[in-house]
Amino acid sequence: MIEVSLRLSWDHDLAGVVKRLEAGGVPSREVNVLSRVPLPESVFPANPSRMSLIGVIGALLGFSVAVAFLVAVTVSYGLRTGGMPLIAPLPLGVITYEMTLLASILAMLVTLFVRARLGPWRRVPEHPELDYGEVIISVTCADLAQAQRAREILAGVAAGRAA
Amino acid sequence: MLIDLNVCTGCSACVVACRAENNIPITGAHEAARNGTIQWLHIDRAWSGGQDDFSVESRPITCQQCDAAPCEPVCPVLATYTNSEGLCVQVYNRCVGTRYCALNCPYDQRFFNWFDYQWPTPMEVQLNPDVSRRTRGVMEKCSFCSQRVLAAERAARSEGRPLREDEVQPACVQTCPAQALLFGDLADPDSRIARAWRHPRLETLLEELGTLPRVRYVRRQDAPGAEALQPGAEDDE
Amino acid sequence: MNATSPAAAPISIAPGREAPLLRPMLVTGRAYKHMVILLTGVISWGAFCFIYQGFIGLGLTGLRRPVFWAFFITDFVFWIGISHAGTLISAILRLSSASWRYPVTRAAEAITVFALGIGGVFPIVHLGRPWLFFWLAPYPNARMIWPNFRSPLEWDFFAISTYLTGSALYLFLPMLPDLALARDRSQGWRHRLYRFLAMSWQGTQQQWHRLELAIQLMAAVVIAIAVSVHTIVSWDFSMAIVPSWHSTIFGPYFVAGAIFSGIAALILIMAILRRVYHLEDYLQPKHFNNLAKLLLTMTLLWGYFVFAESITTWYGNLPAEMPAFWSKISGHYAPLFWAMVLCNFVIPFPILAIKRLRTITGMVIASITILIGMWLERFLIVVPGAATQRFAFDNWYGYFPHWTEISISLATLAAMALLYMVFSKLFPIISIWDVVGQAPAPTGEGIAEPGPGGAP
Repeated sequence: MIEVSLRLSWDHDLAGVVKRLEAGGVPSREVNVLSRVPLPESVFPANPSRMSLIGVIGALLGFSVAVAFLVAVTVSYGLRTGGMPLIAPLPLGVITYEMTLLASILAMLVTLFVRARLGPWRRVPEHPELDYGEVIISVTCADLAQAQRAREILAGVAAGRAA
Repeated sequence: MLIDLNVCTGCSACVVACRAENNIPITGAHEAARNGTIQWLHIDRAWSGGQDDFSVESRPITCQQCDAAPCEPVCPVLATYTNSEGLCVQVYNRCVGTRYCALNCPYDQRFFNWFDYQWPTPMEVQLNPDVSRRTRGVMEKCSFCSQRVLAAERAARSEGRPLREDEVQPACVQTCPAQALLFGDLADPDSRIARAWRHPRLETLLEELGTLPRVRYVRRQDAPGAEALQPGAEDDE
Repeated sequence: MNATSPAAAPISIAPGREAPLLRPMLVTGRAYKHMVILLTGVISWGAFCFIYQGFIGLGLTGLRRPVFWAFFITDFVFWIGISHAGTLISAILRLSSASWRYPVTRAAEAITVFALGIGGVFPIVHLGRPWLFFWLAPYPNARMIWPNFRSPLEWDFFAISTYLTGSALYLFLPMLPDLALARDRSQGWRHRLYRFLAMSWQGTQQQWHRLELAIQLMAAVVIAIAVSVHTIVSWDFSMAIVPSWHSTIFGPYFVAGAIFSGIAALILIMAILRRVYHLEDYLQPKHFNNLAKLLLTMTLLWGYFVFAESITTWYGNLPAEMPAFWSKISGHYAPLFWAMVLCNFVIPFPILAIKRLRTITGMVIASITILIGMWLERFLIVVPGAATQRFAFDNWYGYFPHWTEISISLATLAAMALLYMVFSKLFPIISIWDVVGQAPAPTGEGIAEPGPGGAP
């Protein structure tokens, strides 16, 4: 893996640079625009996300697991307390509620980690030079030839900016 | 259990018997002064009348073994529950000491082991081997002398016969010189207790809470007015 | 703490806009070190008291029948209440896109996590056999008996662990970009630490989009959890049949009280941070002013709840409820009760309502009295209900705390301070990407437009 990068001010035509890289044969998912603060939505519109749907699915899953778990566990060793029915919906509902929300949060967390490619085990190139008001166009290249191509395109971009 | 207040003299023999039978720790005068005692059974005295013609009602109060016990569902570790015989049992080994049950007992009949209590010599010699000594940090209460019930049931089972009515008596019932206490199996419709359970003058403590106690009291015939039927009812503001 | 001896700086500060915010992480003065030693001492003393109490038994405390709960449960409710500062406030502000929240959120979320951790210790401290606390965890024992899911204390276990998970994530996720910044600017062990914690955050636009979406969605869920947590804490009391505890109003009353004390704690901590770390440019009077308005609202709401709770009890005049009520209004606990009213309403209300008094100093005074008042409020909910005559049995007992109880309570206060101090040395206490992204660019060509970090 070779990283080729270029530092640019963020008023540059960033979308254009990415297009040029794609036209040059660099796959778009290998091109990342890094910044210290999020760029305006207008520059790179967010692609649609199903995170809210996954949150709901996680909640439903948590709810089902909670109900099944509580019923199974309570019935498996039925000890009666205080004249209450063994399966007391209201008290068990409190725990069901918490487990539902917990599952929802965890589902969204997993989605975030997968979709944003996060994880402590990943090694990514660090860019201490990146400052506010700037972006870094980072291209991850599979081989030297591709790296060479990307470097040429980015050099062209840099030259264009200098001029 | 049925307690006849007409007969109870308030002699406290039941209290002593309970203490001896159930290894109830001796907490000492210092703790007694600050409500730190443990007494599974105590005599509640209600005084009424004037200086000259007063009357005193003695009422032995113990765990009421409620069918709908408020103490039970609040325990997070199921250390107390209603067993198959309808007793509200306390499992010392499972208790972690949240003390929630004691707060939720309207009769204040749950006692906490604030310390590891020691029995002064030679008191430790008479400890009952059938009853466990409780460690610090667990809750305890009247068990209706379940060790006696279990022993009698075992004996009956080994002889292949049903348990006879007169075989089991908790220590307090056994000791009462006036025979004010009656203990038996309500599930057996012919038992003395089952017949006495429909006595017209029976009352339960704090009936309005709906705890369905398994201890009932036979009201005194000479009770001074209906308002004294509940202990301390005259104290209400 | 405000001495300036930049000892061998492990982070190289580029003279960028984030420098003043990274500075507290690097510059450690003598006062800071003295404070750490002092707090560690207090915490050790508290830990010693806890262990001592474990060996002797809970008889060491002032608890006796029927006052089975007192100091530790008060502390528990108090700290769980403080924990509502952060997540709830910052989540509400985030959902309502209140842009003044940026410098406030991190400080608030950190309060949440630490206060929750500390509050969660108290149910263990209060156990008769604290070494068996894990029996409350949902796993079967040797006889395959599971915990009792019908018990409010078991609800507490689930509610607090859920809230701790949620609020820790809520502190952690918005910090990822700042951790990445710290990773890029640091060497040595700090670099390794931040590299691990930054979870390979690069700042790609995909990551930004997902992160902001996740924070936004979680805010909604976390609010639902936070409300449920303090409701469940209040249900520890409401579910009991103890007169004066068995009240339907307790759920919302406790949640309002929690937010009330949480905002007070936040204002106090922000004032300290501003002073100690010279963050005057970031924690501006307008932030304090906005929080003070929130606090004023909560003061009024608290007054309303106390009045509603009192008048319904007094008017109903139920025999079982009245002993506890009168012990608060005119009896044994009256001094504490009226001190609470003074601390929670009479003092803070004019300070917060009159604009001329609503200075940062004034707010700090109001916050301190509110924190004291809210502790008293929890004490007055827990103890008189248990201590006064309940039902027919005249079994009251005058509770007075033992020094071990006081020591352990003070130790947790020290623990909060220490955790906060250590946190501010390891992590940026103000969200850098939020704040610096907001600030207009100082110089440089091509950075004409203001930073786009505003999108929540």
